[in-house]
Amino acid sequence: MKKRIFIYLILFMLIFATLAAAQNISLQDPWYSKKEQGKYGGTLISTLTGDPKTFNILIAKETSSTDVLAGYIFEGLLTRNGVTTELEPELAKEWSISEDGKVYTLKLRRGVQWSDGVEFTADDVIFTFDLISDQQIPTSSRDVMLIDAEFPEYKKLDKYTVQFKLAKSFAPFLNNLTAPILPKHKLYSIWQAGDFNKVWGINTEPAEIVGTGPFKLKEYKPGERIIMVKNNLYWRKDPAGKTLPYLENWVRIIADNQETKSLLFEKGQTHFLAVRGIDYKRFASKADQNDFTLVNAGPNFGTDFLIFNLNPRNPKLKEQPWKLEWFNNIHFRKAIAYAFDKQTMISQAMAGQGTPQWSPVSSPNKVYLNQDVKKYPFNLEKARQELKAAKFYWDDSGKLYDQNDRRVEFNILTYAENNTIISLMNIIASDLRNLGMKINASPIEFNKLVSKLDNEWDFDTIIIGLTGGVEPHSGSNVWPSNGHLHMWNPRQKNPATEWEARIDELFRLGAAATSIKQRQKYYDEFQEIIAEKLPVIYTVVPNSIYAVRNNLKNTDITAYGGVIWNIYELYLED
Amino acid sequence: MKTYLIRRVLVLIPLLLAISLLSFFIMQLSPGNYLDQLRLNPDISSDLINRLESEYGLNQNIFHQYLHWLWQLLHGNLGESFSYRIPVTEVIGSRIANTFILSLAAMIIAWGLAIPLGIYSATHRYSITDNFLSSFAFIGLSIPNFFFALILLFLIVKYSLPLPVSGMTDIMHDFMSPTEQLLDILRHLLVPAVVLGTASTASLMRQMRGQMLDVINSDYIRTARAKGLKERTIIYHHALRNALNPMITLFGYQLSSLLSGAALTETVTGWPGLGKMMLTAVRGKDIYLAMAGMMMGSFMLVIGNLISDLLLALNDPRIKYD
Repeated sequence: MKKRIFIYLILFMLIFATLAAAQNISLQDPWYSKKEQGKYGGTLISTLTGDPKTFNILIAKETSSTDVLAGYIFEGLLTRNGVTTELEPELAKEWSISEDGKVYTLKLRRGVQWSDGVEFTADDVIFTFDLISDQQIPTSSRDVMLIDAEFPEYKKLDKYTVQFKLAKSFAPFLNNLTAPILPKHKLYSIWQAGDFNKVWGINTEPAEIVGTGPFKLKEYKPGERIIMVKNNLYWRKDPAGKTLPYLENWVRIIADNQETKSLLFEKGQTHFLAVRGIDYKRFASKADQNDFTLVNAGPNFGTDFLIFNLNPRNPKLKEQPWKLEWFNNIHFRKAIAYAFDKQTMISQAMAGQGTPQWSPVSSPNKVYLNQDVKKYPFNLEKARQELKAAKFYWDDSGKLYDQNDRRVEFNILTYAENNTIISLMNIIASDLRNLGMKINASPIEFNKLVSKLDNEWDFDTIIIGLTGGVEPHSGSNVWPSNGHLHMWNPRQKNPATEWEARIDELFRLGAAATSIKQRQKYYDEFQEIIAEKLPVIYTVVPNSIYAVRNNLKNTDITAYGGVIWNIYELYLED
Repeated sequence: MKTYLIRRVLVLIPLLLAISLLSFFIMQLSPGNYLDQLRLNPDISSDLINRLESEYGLNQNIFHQYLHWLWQLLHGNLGESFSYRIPVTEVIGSRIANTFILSLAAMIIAWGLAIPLGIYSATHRYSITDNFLSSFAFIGLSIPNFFFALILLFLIVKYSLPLPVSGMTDIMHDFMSPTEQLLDILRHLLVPAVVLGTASTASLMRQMRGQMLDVINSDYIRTARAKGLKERTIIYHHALRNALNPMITLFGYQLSSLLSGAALTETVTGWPGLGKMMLTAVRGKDIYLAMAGMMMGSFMLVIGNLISDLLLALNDPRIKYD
C-alpha cells in the first residue's frame, strides 16, 4: 500500500513537472521594429566567402565560420548597432554600471526562447562564461575578458539577472558582453565530459545547433551552400507585433571567387553583392536596366600601413646599424609620409573607390575616430625639406645619401596573396625612388612575413593590413609597448620612447575611464601621437560598395554592418 | 602473375613511406605553421597561441611529429584537421564523391574525344580536318583552365543560357525526383567537366595521333596493306592495338588525378570538390589534412601505374609477368 502511494506520488510529480515544462513561455520583453511593415515569406540568397570550419562559435577563429553564426544563429547580451556602431541591448533588456565602474548588472529579456523551445535564462549566461573562463577551451573571447590577468567574477542574481564584478574599473568590458551566448541545456553535459572543443563541428546534424538568433541552420552542403530557415520563436517583432524575421529562408552560396560572385549576381541569382572598386563602373552602367542599386557605404574597417622596424634587437643591425638611425629619425619618417601619394593609390589600386586614412582608428568608427590628427598630404618638396633637416643630401645624379655618405637603400616587403596591397607597395616604392632612395620592393609569402614580424625581426619596412573594430581597446596587443603585435618593436619590457610610454598610459586610462566622453579624450590623444610620431604610416582604405536588388527592402547599408546586419527586419517585395 | 602482383604491392609500401616522409618534411621546411594566421589577429594573445601550439604538437621537433603521424596512420587514424577540429577522414569524406564525379566525367570526355579524333587525324594526315584539329589542340593546350571556365560562365550569363554558373546542385535539389536530381547534377557538371576534359583532350589527341603515325608508317602495316587487307582491319585491328600501349601507360597516370581534384576549376565553377580544400589546407599548413590529400594522390598514382601495367599485359600478348 505504501508502495502504491509512493508510485502515485511519483506519477503526480512527473505529470506536474511535464505540465510546468509545457507551460507556454511567454515573451515579456519583445523588441519592436521601427521600420515599415514588411511582407512575410521569400528566400534571400547571398554568397559567402569560404566554407565554415566549425559551428562552434566559441572556438571559431575564421570569419568564414563566424560570418555564418554571429548575430544570425547566436546572439550576445549586447550588440552593436550597424549604423551608429553604438552598443545596444540584445538578449539583455538593459544594463547598469555602478558608480565606481566595477559592477555591471544586466537584466535579461524575459521569455526569450532557444530555437528548440527551451527558455533562455541567466543559467545560459553563467554557463557561457563558465566556458569562456575554462582554460581548456581555446577561445579568443577569454583573452579580451582578462583584466590584469584576472577573469571577472560573474554570478546569477535571479532567473533574469546576472552580475559581473571587475577587479577595477574597465570600460572595454562592456564590449565583451557582445560575446555569443550558448545553450546550457544542449552543451552542459558535453562540456562536463571534456568534449566541448569537438562539439558542433561541420559534421553536426543541423537540428542539434540551437541558438536564439533570427535563423536556424537547416542544411550545410560543404563547398556548396548553407541553408537557414526562419526561427519561429524569435524575440524581435514587427511593428504590428508579429514575430520577425520576415524572410522564410536564407540561402548562402559558398563562392570563393569574386568573378563567380559577380556572375551569380548578374544572372539574378543573388540579392546583393559586395562590389570591388575596379568593378564599380561596370556595375554602375547596368544598375538601372537590371533593377539593382549601387550603394557606396564609405571606407571599411580594414587598415593597410607601412611599418618601420624600430627594433634594436633586429639581427641585421650588426651589419647595417645605420638603418635603425634613419628609421629612428622622425624627419626621415615624415619625409616618407609626405611621399605617400594617396590619391594615386586610390585611383590606381582601387579604381577611385577609396578613402585616405590618417589615424590608427578605422575610418568608419563613428565613436572613436579623431578627424583632426596631423595629416601628410602628398608633397615631394616637403619630403625633401624633411630629409634636408635630417642632414641627408643628394649627389649630382639625384641619389640620396645620409650625413655619413651612405646611400639610402632599404627593403619594403608585403604579402604576395593580395593584389591591392602589392599595387600600394609599388606606388610607394616609385615615389620613394623619386626622392633618390634605392628601394627593393618585393612581395613574399604570408607565413614568412608573419614570422619576420613576430620573431625574426630582420626586415626594414613591411606593408601589411589589420582589421579594426569599434572598441579601441581591442588594439591592446598592438599599441601598448609590451604587445606582441606592437609590430615596429614588439614585447618591450620598458617602453623605448617617451611617446610609447604615453600611449601605454593612455590605454590604461582609456580602459579605466567609464564615460565614453572621457575615453574619447584619451584615445584622441593616442591617435594624435601615432600620427605625429609615425611608427606606422597609413595608406588608403577601400570603400564598401554594395549592389543590392531593388526588391530587398528595409535595408540600412553601412560599412560596419554591411547589408544584412538587420536581417531580421529585411523583406522581399514580389 | 600472382607473384608479380604480390611483389608489386610489397614494393609500394617503402615507396609510399618515402613519399610521406618527403612531403611531410618539405611542408615543414617552408616557413611558418598553421598558427601564423592567428598571430596577426589583435584579439588573440600569445598565451592562447602557445596553448594551441602545444595542443597541436607543433612545438615538438619534426621527426617526433612525423613518427607520431605515422604511428597514428598505422592504426588507421589520419589525424585531426587543425582548422576543422574534426577527423581528417570526415572532412575529406564529404567531398570525395564530388571530386570523383567531376574527374570521371572529365576523363570520359577527354578519352572519348581524344582517341577517335587522334586516329582520324593520323589517318587523314595534313587534311583540312587534321589541321583544324591540330590548331584546336594547340589552343586547348594554351588556354588556362580557370580562364576557359570564366569565359564559358561569362557566355552563359551574357546570353542568358539556362545553365547554372556555380555549384553542383540547385537550391531546389532536395525537392526533386531522382531523375530530376540526376539531370540537375549533369547540368551543373557540364561547364567544369568540359573545361577539365578538353584540357587533356588536346594533349591526348596529339599523343594518339603521333603514336598512330609511327605505327602506320611501319613495315608490318605496309605488309598488311600489300596482303590486301581491308583498311578498316589494318587500322583498328593491327595499328591501333600497337599504338595503344603508350596510351595505356598515360591512362594509369591519369587515374591518379581521379581523386586529387582541380583546385582552380573548382574554385571558379564552385564545384565542391577536394582540390579547393586541399589547396587551402596546404597554404594554411593544416598539416594532417594536407598529408591525407597528398597520400591519397600518391596512392592513386602507384595504383594507377599498377593497373596500367596489368592492362598492358591484356592488350599486348608479348608482355607477360611471370
